Amino acid sequence: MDRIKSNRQKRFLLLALSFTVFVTALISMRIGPYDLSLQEVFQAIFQLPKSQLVENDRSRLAELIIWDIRLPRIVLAGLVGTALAVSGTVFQGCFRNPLVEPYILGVSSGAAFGASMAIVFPSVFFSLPVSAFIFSACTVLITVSLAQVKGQIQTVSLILAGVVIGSFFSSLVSILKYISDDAALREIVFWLLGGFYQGGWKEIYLLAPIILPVSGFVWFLGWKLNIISIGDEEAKSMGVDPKKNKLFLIFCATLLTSLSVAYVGIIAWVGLMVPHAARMMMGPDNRYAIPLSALLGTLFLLFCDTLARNLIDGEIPIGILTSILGAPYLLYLLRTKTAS
Amino acid sequence: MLKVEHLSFRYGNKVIFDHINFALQKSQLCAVLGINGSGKSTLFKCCMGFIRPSHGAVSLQGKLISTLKTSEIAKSVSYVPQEHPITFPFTVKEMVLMGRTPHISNFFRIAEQHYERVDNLLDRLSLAHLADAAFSQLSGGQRQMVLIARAIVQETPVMLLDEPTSSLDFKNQLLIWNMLVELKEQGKTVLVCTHDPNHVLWFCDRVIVMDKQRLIADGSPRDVLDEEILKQIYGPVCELVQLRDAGMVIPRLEQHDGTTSKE
Repeated sequence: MDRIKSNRQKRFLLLALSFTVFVTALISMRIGPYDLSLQEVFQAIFQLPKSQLVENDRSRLAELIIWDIRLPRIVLAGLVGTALAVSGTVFQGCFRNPLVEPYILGVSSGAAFGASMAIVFPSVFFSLPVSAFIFSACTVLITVSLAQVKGQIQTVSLILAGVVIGSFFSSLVSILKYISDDAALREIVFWLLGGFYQGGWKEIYLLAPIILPVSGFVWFLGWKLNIISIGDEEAKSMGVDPKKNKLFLIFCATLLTSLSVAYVGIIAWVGLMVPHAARMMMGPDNRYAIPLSALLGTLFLLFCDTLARNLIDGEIPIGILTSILGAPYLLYLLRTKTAS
Repeated sequence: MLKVEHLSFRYGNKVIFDHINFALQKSQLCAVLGINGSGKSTLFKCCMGFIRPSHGAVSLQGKLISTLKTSEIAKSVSYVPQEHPITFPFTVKEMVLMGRTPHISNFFRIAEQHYERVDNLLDRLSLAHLADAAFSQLSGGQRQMVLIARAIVQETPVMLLDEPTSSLDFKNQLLIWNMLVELKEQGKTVLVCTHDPNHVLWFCDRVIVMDKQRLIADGSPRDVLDEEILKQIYGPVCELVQLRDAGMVIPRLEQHDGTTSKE
């Protein structure tokens, strides 16, 4: 794909994509076990004056479906898509490696362990998301402290420490799976595959005030991320302190990832493939790659969640769908990159 | 402009260089010459503030570099690293625009004047046709030109270049050196790390020679680079011949009877 080079075209594409997200959200609100017409969706969202509506049970039901079930899922998918894609872009830039994903520092394994503990020992760990968040944050702290040698953090040792800690917590999750009863095991497996089925306004009120400003702040630092991504010494020579900026950006990205994972489980591939797609479309300038990643992440999870809700009678965990769509995409990328 | 006083650097017990002193003036093109491992690159890193010396001090325009913030150093001295590949395919224009970073106040929306400066410079250096090309897909010479353009657009009084012509063909080497001479004539202080004594003889007005972790000579290339110094740095493998106004260092050829060309 030829990438877009003029800044005006890039801004236009961002606008067009925002509109696409809006349209996809409307379509997603229509489709479900109980299909709604576009008019019913609009009426329910904008709560048009009652005189324009035929006041009946169906319109009340539509309002209930939209406001209590579908809209919160869509908003949550958007928030998580934004968080994972933005943090993927940050991690790839900071580590100067396009194959790095947001779970590199062990966030997902820590969160999985926290969630599993909350499922197996509900009387001790009263809240699953809080337990998942605390353990994911602890994992990153352990990873960072392990990677520190004489006060310096080397990228390679950070990635290695992430792999080691991630593997350690994955083993602990396996132990919990082994000792848990059938119901708990089923719940752990479902949680690990991710999904928005537990999404409600309460989660959105908790996540939105953190995810949106943090993503915005990371976007603001997009130019500095460009400079960090070409090398530490060059960044310094251009007046950007790589250590300070990297630590801050990685902190923001970790916060975005661990919050998302705590509430919706482990959704694979978004943080790896969406930043790739964004860079292929608009180039690596993070002033544009970050908002584009956020929009593409939203769009991708919206699409996957709509499929997850509608493909079969029950619900497919979204992690399965993102992996099924993500793996061939990465293969395609690797093949085209090798060919070029 | 750039003053280095009693500078020493050690990795543990290993001395990389010891007790280096020199001061560069405005409009000077100075080369640092020495064999591999003589401490040239480490000296550059100390001068840029990338690493702290074990002893001694570096001053930029009268201020100690250790007291300056990263952003303040970037307004006084720019750096051209050795040509290298980068991970992400930034365009030439984006790479050069990065040089404006110390002067940009709003990173969110970079002012039009910065883009204009970049466009004008690319035009001046005949790189305008490559503006939208990916930096990673350029040839070695073109990449080096772009890195130099990035340092020029940073508009600093001092420029440090680490082996800028090491991977270039002869034509591009001459192009880069002529550009450095032009920068010197515009009033810049240019410090270049190089391996080629001929480049020093032809283009530089000062040379600092490093050998065995120490500064062994400092002065005009014609005065400094004599047979004795060349022998001290490189051993008995080359000789100095006079060519036009400047000298030229050529290999000392082995004769069939085992004697060298001068014997």
